[in-house]
Amino acid sequence: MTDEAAIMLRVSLFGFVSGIVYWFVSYEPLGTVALLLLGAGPGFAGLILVQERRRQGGGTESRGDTLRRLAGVPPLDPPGPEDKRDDDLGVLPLPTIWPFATSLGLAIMLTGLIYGLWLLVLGGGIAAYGTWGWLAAINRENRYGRIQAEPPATDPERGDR
Amino acid sequence: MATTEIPLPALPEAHEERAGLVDYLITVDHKKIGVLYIFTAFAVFLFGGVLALLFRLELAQPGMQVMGQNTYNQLFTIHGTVMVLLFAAQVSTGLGNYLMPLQIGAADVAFPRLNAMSYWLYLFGTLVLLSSFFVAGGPAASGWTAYPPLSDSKYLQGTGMDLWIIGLALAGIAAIVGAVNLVTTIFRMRVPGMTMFRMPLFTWGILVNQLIILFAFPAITAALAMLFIDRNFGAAFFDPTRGGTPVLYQHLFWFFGHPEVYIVILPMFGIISEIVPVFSRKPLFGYRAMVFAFFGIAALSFGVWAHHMFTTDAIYLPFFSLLTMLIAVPTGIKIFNWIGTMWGGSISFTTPMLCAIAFIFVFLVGGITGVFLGSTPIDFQVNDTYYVVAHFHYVMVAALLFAMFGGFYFWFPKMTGRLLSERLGKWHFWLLFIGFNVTFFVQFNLGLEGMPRRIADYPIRSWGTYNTISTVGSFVMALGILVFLWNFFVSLRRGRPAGDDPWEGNSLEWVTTSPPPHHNFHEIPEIHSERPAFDHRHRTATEADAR
Repeated sequence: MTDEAAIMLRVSLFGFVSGIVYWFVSYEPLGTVALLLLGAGPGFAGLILVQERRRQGGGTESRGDTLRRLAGVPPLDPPGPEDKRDDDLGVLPLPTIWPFATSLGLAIMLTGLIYGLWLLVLGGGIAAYGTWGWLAAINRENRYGRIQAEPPATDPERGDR
Repeated sequence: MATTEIPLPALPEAHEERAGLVDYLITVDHKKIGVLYIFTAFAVFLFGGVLALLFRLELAQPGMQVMGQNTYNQLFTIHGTVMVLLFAAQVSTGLGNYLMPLQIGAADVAFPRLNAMSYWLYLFGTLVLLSSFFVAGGPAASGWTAYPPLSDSKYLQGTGMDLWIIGLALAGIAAIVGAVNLVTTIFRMRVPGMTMFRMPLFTWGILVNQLIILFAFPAITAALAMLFIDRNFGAAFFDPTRGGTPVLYQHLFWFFGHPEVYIVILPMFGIISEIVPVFSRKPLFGYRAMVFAFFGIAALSFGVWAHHMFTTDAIYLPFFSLLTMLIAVPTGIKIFNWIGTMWGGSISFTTPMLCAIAFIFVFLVGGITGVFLGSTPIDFQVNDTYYVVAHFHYVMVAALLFAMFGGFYFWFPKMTGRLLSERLGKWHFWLLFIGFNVTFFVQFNLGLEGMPRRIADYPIRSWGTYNTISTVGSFVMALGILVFLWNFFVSLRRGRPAGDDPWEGNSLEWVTTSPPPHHNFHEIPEIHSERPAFDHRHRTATEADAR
């Protein structure tokens, strides 16, 4: 289990335990639901991370190491990062106007909830156009390439992946 | 010396640098977006500060001098809103945007275009909220907490309140989108060798801060949506005359609102944890304990929301009282570790270090008074008085300002390649420190004497002396801020060249050039500890000696 998954699962545990305790001391539903959701959200993310780690073939950690990690005790030999993919290492997209345009559209659209349907439609149109442009830019990049920094070489000493 | 070389990327023609504003309009570079965040948040801070000076003038003496009651309500509402939600919560996102990818050795954030969208949504949210000054009836006047019925359509007509809701909803969406991005970046983009437990404390602060945003902001977004529907579409979520309950709003608001305190302050803890070891010439004392304290604080922050609702008689007091007091434990660990780091160190009292020490002092004052407020009998006595205002400003404002300015002085050389003036920095620091304490310390006394907050006038003349002192202090603070602005603009043009590593820092950003290149690093050293820049310097010096 990775440190990231362990963090998420600890937060999840806190949410579930405090939610259950809170219910029995208060019988107050809203806070209980909020705390249980605090348990559910990170728990879901944590399980996905665990699952992903297993899919990558890294699920060979011993039960003792897993418990040690969950308890926050450092492993004897700290592992290098195992979550780094080569294509993460320096892919820089081109500058683009579309995030600005999409945000502007969304802002106008929400303000339309106050001032009327015409503004809502106008904002929605700009946001839709911005999203279309955004997707088109990604498509273009996929065809013609992006700014690509070469990934750093593997460090043989540590055996980092 | 072994380094990981990263060749300069071949930039396509389309990426030629554009001049000025257009470049910032279309940028997806995390550094430029970070700068945009910081500038916008600081502009909001200046605006909120001017509002505070105006109502401090009104409060300086009993009687109505400067403005009417409604204007006063509007000003303190917008002051609180912009300072807490549009400045304090955002400036750390700006610093995180700029620094975190550098600290973990990434070329950018995980979703650069989404990052740009977060910023623009935040900016448009801010503009929508501030546009309420130009509509009939003016801006919201419900207090920054916007409790119904003060914020419902019966008591607060006009579109000012609606613009307030929409503006904050936009900023909330921006924050959630930004949090997904930054958390993914930290989880996925670390350079080989940078394990989680080798990350700098500032990056840990940003990680925990963004996780809290992910879990807390949906609650306020839901509350705002319900309030908007109540006001405009005839629903009754919070209207007790039609079966609704105003306390529901308070629950939702504070389920976000208390973690918001830590959204603001955890990255500041991170900044202090970067500054103190560098200027004490020692490694950080208790690195792992600091990380677990981050998580302890974050977890407990979700269990204490209703200590803001002690007097509603709708909650179970001991649960929230106990958890509130428990927060002092992980916070105490942090303060202990900062002192432990300084202990026996070779301390240099530069402006960033002075800011860090001031941070520890003011946060301690704010924290201790917070423990008192966690005790329900005391809270019942001082609830909604100036005692709470003073406590809140010590925890949130002073701590934030000293850490933020400390961070500015510390990383300005990295961002610009120039040093801020130390002489002007010390003037700025002392004016701010004295001004802040003069402004807010007397407010503890005002609160204990029973002066309620959020009032434009007060009937007891003896409160006038304290209020006059407080107003004078606020103008001393303002003078300090002006000195900082002067320092900033002068140093930006004529500051002393900084070099790449002027402080002999510990984290990875000090290895690259100042300012960093577009893709952040030409080469990254091997990472064997949580102090890669220190290791790199040490190794380079050893190799030079050997030659």
